[in-house]
Amino acid sequence: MNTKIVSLNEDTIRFLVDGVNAAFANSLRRTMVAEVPIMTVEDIFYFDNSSIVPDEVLAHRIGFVPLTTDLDNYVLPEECDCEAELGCPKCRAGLTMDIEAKDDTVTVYSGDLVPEDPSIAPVSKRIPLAKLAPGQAIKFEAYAQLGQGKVHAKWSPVSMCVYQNVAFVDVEDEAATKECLDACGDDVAVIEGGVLKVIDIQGFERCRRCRELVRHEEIIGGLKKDEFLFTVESTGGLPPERIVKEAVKMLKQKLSTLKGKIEADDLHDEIRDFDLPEINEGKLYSVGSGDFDEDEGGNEEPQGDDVA
Amino acid sequence: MKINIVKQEGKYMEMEFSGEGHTLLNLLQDSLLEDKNVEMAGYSKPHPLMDRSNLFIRLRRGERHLDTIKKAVANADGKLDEFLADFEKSLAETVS
Repeated sequence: MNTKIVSLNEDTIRFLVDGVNAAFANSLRRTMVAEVPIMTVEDIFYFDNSSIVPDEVLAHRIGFVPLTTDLDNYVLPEECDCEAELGCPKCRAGLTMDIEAKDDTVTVYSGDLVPEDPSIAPVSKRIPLAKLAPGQAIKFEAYAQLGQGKVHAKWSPVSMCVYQNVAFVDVEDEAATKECLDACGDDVAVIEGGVLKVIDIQGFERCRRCRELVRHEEIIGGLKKDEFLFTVESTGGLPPERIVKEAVKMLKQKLSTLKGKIEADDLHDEIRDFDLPEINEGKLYSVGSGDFDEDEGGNEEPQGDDVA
Repeated sequence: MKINIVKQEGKYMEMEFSGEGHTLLNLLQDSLLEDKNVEMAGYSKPHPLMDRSNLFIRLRRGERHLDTIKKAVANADGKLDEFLADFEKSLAETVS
């Protein structure tokens, strides 16, 4: 096995892995998309929302605002020992917003969210959330939690995570290809011992000169089955290289759980068709604060005896 | 993760998983197939909306299915370790 980092910046990493099969690559990709946890707003309590954006629509938008994540100091709510419905300082971070339009129209941005913990803050300050006309106001308290992409897409740490095969093609005119590659850059393709290694097929074919030198069919015919180019683009919550490392850790954890269960001979669990998650005590949806007063609004409910 | 052995007859075994899907089982299947003693290994998901999958194994010799799975798990774990070490090494080279 051999890996090579092709490029790395603050939100994207591209790397080559050699000597692994498609099952390994796909498991790694699936783990990055759906299992690596990040922080996102889950519960919101409105004190005031007189804007034209309904509460639930605004809540949905805020849920998708990427927050920087501190994985070392927070735990998943289902793994936390507090058992509180809204979590404790170990499994949630608060954010508040208090904004009012006085004389002018105001656009509310993600930068207006005030984090309780500076390490859990919006990645971008320039995401528009709502517009306020003069006199309107928004005031709420939001709680961010760690979560996984398989529960809701807002908890996916990557905006893109893909892999593709690398191709090896015999070149006829090495000098001409070399000249073209000098202009295209060595993160697109390289010549290794008279053989052209196409790392990024789309990037390679974007250049008309390269396309004329190597036909598309030759590239498709030269795909190598056990070498992949991964492109991981983070939403900004976690550095991209951290996402890859966490994914490996999570996969290893799954394997060790399986191993532990086999060793302990714990292999006769009851499996039902649909298992509801235990975090909501078997309820399908979590209902915010939970305790709603049924009599709220002054409607008199018929007493038990009258209904019979 | 919940596991239930549905059937174990001679060289054949069928296992049920709850809370696991393609992510773990595809890796495991592939790892099992690398074992020379495994004649057949496969998995299926009864329905994409259900959080359940079935794993099937048939061995060439013997009836030690669980040992074979443990070996496959160790194999996959080794690959992940190797990848992580390699990845961190090339990362350190890139950053420096």
